[in-house]
Amino acid sequence: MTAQPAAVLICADVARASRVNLTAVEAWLQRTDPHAVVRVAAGLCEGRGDLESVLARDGAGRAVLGLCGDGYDERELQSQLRQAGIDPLSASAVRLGRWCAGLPPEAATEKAKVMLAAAVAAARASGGSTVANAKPYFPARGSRRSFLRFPVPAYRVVPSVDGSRCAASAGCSLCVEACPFGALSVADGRIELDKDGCEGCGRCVSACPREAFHFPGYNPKEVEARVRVLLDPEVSAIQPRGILFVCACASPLPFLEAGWMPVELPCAAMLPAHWLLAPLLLGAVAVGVVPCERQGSTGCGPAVLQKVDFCQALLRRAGRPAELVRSHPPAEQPPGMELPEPLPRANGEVRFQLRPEAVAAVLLRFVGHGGTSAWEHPGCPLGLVEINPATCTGCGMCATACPSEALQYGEADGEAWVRFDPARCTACGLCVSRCPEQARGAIHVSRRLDPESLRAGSGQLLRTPLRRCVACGAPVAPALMLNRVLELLGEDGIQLQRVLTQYCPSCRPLWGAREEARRG
Amino acid sequence: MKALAQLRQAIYRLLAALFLYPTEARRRALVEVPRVLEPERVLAAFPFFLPWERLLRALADLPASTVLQEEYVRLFTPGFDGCRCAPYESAYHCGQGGSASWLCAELEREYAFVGLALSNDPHEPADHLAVELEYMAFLCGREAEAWERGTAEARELLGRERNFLNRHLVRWVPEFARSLQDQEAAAVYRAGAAACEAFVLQDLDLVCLFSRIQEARR
Repeated sequence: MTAQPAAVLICADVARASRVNLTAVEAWLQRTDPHAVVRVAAGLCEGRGDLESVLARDGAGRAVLGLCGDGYDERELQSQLRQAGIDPLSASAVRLGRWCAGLPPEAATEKAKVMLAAAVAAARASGGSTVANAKPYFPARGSRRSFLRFPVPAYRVVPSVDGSRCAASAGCSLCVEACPFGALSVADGRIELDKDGCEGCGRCVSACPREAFHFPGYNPKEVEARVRVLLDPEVSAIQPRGILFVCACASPLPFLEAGWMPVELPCAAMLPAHWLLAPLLLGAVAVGVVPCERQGSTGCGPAVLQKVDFCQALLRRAGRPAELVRSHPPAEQPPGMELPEPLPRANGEVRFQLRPEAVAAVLLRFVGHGGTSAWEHPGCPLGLVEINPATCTGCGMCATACPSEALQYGEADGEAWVRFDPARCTACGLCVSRCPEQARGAIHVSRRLDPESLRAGSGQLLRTPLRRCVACGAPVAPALMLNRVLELLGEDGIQLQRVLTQYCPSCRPLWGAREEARRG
Repeated sequence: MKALAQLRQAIYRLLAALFLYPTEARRRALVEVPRVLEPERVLAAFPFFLPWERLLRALADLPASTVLQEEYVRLFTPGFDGCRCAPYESAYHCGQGGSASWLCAELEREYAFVGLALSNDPHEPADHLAVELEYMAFLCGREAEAWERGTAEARELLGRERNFLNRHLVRWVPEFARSLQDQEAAAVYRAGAAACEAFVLQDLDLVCLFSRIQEARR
């Protein structure tokens, strides 16, 4: 398969901000990736790059920006990229000047190569952006365009919802609950995003078990492509290597030793637990995360700590050092210097997808190494559902509510059944909140990892005979449900009992007419 | 702000003309668009620029008016099996009233409020895409004039534009554009629908941003 053409634009000032040899980087990228158009542009970050003439419209649909500092003239650069025929919101920006600063020239050059190659892979894995992903704002920083006749906004990327994947019409609102800014709401069974309120933290993206969100730059495919290249031993000789997830709001940013490969996220709270573990199976000797210091619900610290704690507990159970995954690791030291050899690589079996099956596959790789007993943890991304057959009526409401289809309801051979697949359960609790018998404890869900049931796969939780209509033979309802109805009706309404339990909904009016005729 | 409102007015006008029956005179005017707008690189500041560029390329290569007319009739006028890609809002959603006539009546009331009535040439219902886009062009024109007089009237017009986009165009144009992408339609109509969708979505974001800024200033 031919790789998609990608433009790699590097600000010439990177050489001043760090000791990266840009000529060597440019030559290496051009040699190793013939489909990349590599250009070093003077004044790129200040919007003086004149990208249209630099790129001469050579058909590059994706771009990678190698930046000299923390910020750049978004308005000008976005506009220039569009004129060059490139979608600026799916461009991958790498703060080379920031992450390579302070390193010796050789290490800085080597790190710049890996980071740019990884950004190219991420840009190629991007599905691009649409206007729905663009949120306008006026940057505080002035622009060369400010002399124009009218105010020109810059655009920042926000997630968009794919209605065909979303389960909001079935009552799911996990993303709404995950949003700390109240920017999401459900209207007419659809998720609506208020761009004014959205800060692009991405928590909704990782909260959705159906991958219904599209967030250019931070989709699982893009993050996976980036991490794989950052850890690829064939791309660079830097060893050992660790992955450091960094919150965009984290300040001050740590100085990174060459082996720490940064992956910037809009908010570290969007990080699912299995993204912290997966790099360990791709060759990382350690994984770290640097959350921001913001307080309250918009800060990511507590959410990150809970996930790190879960990963550490899992590693301990697997007989591995818990320090393989850490919050605020000592980034000024080579990653994992005090740790034993990395875990054996498992390239093909590791996926960053957000579907619970992908999460379960990563977790199972770890529990396979050791402890197999079930254990509960508030940060566990998977859950276990239990049904109490004494109180469950087999109505199937739980299966209707389940957004990841972990619970399934069916009717066959005169029986109704509820099946449960633990590899699909995210412990969202929607099944419990929808259960009409929740007060009697008919269903219970816990954040628990049970390797045995994960390996066993889907199993039956409930089986009950179906009552059939005495008139036409069609199913009426599960026997358990009818028993419960009778119990609630008690001694009253004998007629009603009869009509409800013996006739299907289609025959009930007919039965009513017959009864009337008989009486009349 | 005045210049931006004028630019938005021109784009709404162009998009409206694109979805009207392509008479020879209209076709000639559309062919001229890329030549006039090509140097206007300022549009690159907005995210609808890429679909917009594809539309300009399609306009530069516009087929003969007879071909275009056949295509227009095939796609947008109702046949015995309905309309392939109905350019009418009521084909996608009918608002609170739940019927096409209720929606059209609501739209006519909205147009009448600012002193507009439906024209007989071309004669299209109130929920036709071109009519709704023309109405937005009218509001943008009024907004441009209002900025010269002060901010209060302009602010009110921004609110009217925001409501109209929110309640009408944004709710159905994306679906209309999708239905056109699924058809074997002429490039100009596919590109036009994609550009229209991108522009309408982007315009709502912009209008919301400007309204918020104006409110904050007040």
